Amino acid sequence: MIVLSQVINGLILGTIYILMALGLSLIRGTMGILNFAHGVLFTLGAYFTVKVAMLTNFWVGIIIGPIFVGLVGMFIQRFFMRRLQGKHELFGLLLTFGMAYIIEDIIKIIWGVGGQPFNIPPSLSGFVNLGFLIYPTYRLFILGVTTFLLLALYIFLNKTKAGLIIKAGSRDLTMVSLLGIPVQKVFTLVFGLGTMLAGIAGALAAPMWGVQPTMGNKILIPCFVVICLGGMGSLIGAVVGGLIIGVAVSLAILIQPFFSDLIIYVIMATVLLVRPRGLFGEVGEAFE
Amino acid sequence: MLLKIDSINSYYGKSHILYDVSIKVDRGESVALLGRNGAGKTTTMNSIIGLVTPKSGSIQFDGKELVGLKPDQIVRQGISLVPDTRRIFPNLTVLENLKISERKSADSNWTISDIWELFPELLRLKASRGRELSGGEQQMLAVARSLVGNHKMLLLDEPFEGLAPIIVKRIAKTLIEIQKTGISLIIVEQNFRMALEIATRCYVMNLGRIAFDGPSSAITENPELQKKLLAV
Repeated sequence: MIVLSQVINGLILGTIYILMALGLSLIRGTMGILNFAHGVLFTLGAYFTVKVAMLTNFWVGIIIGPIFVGLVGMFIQRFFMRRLQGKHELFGLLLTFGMAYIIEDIIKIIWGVGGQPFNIPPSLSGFVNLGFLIYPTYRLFILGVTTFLLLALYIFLNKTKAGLIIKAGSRDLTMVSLLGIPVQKVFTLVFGLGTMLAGIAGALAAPMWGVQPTMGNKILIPCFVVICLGGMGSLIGAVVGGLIIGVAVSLAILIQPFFSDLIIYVIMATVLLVRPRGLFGEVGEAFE
Repeated sequence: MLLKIDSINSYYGKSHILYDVSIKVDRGESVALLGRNGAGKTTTMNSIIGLVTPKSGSIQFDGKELVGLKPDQIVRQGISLVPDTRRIFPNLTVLENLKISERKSADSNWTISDIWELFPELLRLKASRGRELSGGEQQMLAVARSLVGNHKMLLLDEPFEGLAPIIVKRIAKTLIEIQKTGISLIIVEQNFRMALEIATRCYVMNLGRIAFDGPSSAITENPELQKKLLAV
């Protein structure tokens, strides 16, 4: 029973990884930048949600908080990243790396280095009897929200013009501009969307992990592992990779807690040795 | 005058590619831009569309200066490039490729259903991904994509390259139909006979300069000029 419970815990952890990895993957696929500020934007999502929830209620917080993170992302793209247009992509990486430190310090300056209390509403606290297992309601709520978001993202990318432009841009940005579409506006949209996903992940994780300035640091690296394992730029890869890593981490804790840090690299290295482009990555493929 | 290129000089890095190139195209006119491989035809197209910025000279389109604008800004003025490599989005279906190219304008009124009439083969393939299309189908889609953008002028870079003769005829016939609707064309070609069947006037480039300009008949009726300017 404890194994089953850990598998489900792993799936929940996996959904947080998935939201993070999808944002990273979208940004990298379209803009060619590995966003090192993704972890701190996760943290920012938790803080914004907590603070808005304090002024209003949990539900308003969990919706408005991530939207604010998306707006911060759009601001960063619009006023900082655009200045790097035409420069080597390493500059973009360095910029996001620096941004990560700056935003973390801003969080510390405004809200202090200590943790923030965050209580979930009574309707989400408590447990649900699944028949075979009694499980925390809030964790099932995360599973539901993530499933809904994945469907919404899939529909957005495949059924809306903006989504199709993002897919097209992941393959040939120059051709997108030759259709008269302003590429920098597409970038702002993608960065806003990707960072909002990080914000949602942070908001959802906040009640489980506690809200403190460094909460995003430990999640960034596993998310890089998830996109390498699933295949760069693949949506389905991010989903499957996220679930595998989530479950592996949860099960490793049962054996020996420090295994959970080790096992993700073992899995990644094993898969990449057999299949260098990851589980679902095609050569040069993105967002299928 | 719809397009007026006035002595542009373009470079790739430090290499001087175009020397004082001047080209004029009237509203509704079809012009061929011919020349051997490496003569500067594609660089001229890239200079018009903004992928290369000329260091000097001017490009006026419908009275507006294009030099210094970004490609997407130039395209929104009503000018569209059909690239020689076609650049169909491989991960989108035929229909999706068209959908993201749609643009409304006062200049013309092409819709996706018009495309299905023009190229019935694309209708049959509308759910196929770009990567599944043959060269001819990709070329049709590339032209169709520019049409639904409703532009005043299409720049066609090597539209017949690598296609079977029967497809070449099919595309040529369509280009003549398109021109009849009032859209101006610049056709860049090494296959000069087919280009000259469509265009009324032509420019021939050599080593980055305009070496000849005149009516298409001047080339088709003059084998010596063909040999001098176009023979490989």
